[in-house]
Amino acid sequence: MFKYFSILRINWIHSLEYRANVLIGLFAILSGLFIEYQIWSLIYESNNHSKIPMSGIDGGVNFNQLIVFIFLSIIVGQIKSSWVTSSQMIIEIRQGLINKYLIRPISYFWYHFMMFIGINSLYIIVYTLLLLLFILIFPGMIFHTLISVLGFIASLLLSIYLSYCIYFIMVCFSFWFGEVRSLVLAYNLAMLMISGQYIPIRLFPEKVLEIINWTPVPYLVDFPVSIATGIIPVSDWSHKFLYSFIWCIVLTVLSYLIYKKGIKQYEAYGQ
Amino acid sequence: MYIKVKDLSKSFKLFKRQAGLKAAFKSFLNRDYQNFYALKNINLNINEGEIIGILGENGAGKTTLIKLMVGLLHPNKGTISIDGYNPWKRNYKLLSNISVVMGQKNQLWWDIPASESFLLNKHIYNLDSAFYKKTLNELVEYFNVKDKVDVQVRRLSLGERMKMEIIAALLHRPQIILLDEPTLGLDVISQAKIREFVNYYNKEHKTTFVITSHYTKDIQEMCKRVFVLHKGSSIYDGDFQSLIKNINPNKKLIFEFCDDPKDAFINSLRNTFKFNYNNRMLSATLPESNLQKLLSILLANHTANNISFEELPVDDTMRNFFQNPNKYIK
Amino acid sequence: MKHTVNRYFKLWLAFFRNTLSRDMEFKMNFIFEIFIDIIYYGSLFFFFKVIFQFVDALGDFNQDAIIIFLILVYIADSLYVFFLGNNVFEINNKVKSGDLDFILLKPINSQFFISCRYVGIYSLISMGILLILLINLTYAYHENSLLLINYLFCGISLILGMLIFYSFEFIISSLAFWFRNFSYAGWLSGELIKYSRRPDSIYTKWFRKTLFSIFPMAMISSVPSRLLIFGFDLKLFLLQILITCIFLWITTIIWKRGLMRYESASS
Repeated sequence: MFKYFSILRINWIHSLEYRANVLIGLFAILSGLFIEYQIWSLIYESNNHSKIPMSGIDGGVNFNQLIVFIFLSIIVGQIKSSWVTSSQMIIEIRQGLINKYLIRPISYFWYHFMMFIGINSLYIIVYTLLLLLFILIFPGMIFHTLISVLGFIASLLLSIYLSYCIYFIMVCFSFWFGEVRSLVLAYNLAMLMISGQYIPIRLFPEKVLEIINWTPVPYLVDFPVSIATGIIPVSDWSHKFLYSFIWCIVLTVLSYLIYKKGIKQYEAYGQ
Repeated sequence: MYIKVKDLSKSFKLFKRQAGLKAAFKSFLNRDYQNFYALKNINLNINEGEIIGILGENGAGKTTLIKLMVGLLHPNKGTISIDGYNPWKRNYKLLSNISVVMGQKNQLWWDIPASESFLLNKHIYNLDSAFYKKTLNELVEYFNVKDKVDVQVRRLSLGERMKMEIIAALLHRPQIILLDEPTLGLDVISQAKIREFVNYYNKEHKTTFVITSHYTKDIQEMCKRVFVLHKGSSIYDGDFQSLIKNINPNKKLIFEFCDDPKDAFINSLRNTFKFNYNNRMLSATLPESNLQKLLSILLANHTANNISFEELPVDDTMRNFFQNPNKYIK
Repeated sequence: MKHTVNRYFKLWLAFFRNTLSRDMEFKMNFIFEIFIDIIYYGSLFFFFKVIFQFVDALGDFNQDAIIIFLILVYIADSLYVFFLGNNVFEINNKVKSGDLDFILLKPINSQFFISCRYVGIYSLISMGILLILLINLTYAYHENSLLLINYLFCGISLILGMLIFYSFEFIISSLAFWFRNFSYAGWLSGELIKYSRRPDSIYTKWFRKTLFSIFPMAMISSVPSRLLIFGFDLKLFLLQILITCIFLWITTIIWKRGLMRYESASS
């Protein structure tokens, strides 16, 4: 177990070297929010500040509520994203560097999960500080109860894990195809929009939302953010958490199966 | 003077950091620097048409010197002049007349045939089509790589790649060529071919070659003159053979007796000379003059089945030299 | 002067040939690149579709105008990627690996070399498709008339916008000379370029002014769209020319300064 912790530690040290990137992360959040602010100000003005209908919320949302929702969505979206780790994994598989993992008593899946957490941990800390700052400046807008904080953290952890599993599955396609990097890039781009990072999925046209609800996507961004903003009442939590958890299991099993198949392929052809 | 280096000094800033989380945090806020002196007060004059070798161990400052000479680095102190130009002004006339080949780095594109990269160089150096064809054919013929020119560079062996790199570097017939570790990693045959080529090209075109290497054999076979760097300072500038003789004037003599010499004879020799004797074979490692004396005594008293002289391995000589250069250099 | 232009044009053609030769080796990449383009452009399109559930127009731009605007965003992108885009963020890699040395040793303007080295062959296909779409939609927007003069100035404006896009990313990328571990320059740039991917009319007055001056994001796609959709505007056009010249000039200064600071990676 300790070996995984040391992987986390070394990646954490590594991430401190790249301190400028955290500033960019912060900037990305605030800048993205700023643009959204401009667009939605204009929209609300054009509609005489009447509330905008949002799925799951009776009466719709006013401007402040929507902006807060978007703010949280951007932060959660960034926390769960993993470009660096997935790029590295793809390179390792394509160039046959994966051998060093196969001959060590270590799980490739968990190794990279720890790496993922390690690399992102600096961002997580800074973004948490940002959230705390927000709560100080605008009290009462999010985390109305203590339990919503706990619910948020729990759903966020599930979201991070789910997101990682999806990346892992895509990365495993490298065992068969060369240009998986493009696939991951395309996924990232699509996710920016579909997971609700810039437009809450609750605003999507109904037909689209129906389709999305059959995927793990709502549990990536919408679920944690809805808990934090109090949109989902505690009574509804249990079955949402259950679905999220089921998705975790499904994706873990899928990851395991695809990885095993991929390793067979890898060993058959050497690299 | 074709290349003139005067009072050249160069230092780098290196980050220092210890292991551990606490140190990592500290460095997050504040970085610790240390000055590393790569070159100190270098003076060097190279004449047109010379092949000069810059010899030194790893970290001695060879590559730094090359980069300074072509303007890729700025010195902290001192001046460099190549054909009257100041290299870091990057005058295009100068750049059209020099070429740098770095043993560890590729200029050629990996996924396309070398011939495509050659064509690109043709346009970069604005070469006349006829001139380009002529030069290209000469080089391709010399290296005998005609059938490899249209193969993707990634499919070539290291030796073939190096040949292509050299061809690409010479298409514009530069007057000054700087080779940084050109034989690094190559097999023995390719190494020999490159050394042969340098000598040939220098003879043909009177091109100035500046070659850095930590392989003594490179210097031995290509350069008459050697400039030795040790920890950033120049410790020798002159004839290579003289340097070797200075460091290790010894040679090895192997004398095979026709008949068994008497023990008394051998013992009397041991009073004057140091040698090994076993079963009619005498081998002695001594300065040449002593060997001559020994040989004449042996020949006066016995006939030989076989006599041979051996040069001591230059690498060993140089290794001893670098371990304690002050011992040999006044 | 003419001789120099001719020489650099020939050199660019050599770059084109080189890149084409390499890209032909990887035919699958064509498909992947188009696939990524579709997803990226598709998601932007989707974004505006959702928004237009709640509003009819964003300032001057109604739904039809927004679609034309988006197509011009994509064309500006493709144009940029074709000529310059693949190269700008290579600066960081080349500084780190010391490969910049080889460029500096050639008797060619190093900024030109590093900026134009790899031609984005793939984007030709997107560009072609988008151009066809654009012409169709604009024709419909202008009530079935073809205002050629709008296309002309829009085209020039797109090229100017591309140069501004380039200057901007180039300046950010050149920060690699000062900040060694600045591997996410592309990310920063992407966040800033977002401002050009929304019509300028959504921004409030004071911020809009900056988008037309010191942070000229509106110059990349909004100005060409305005010239195409609403007709020629001399003031806007001249302003764009001025801003392009200023920013290009800034890139040459930053490049020179950066080179001075450049220390090649040790061997």
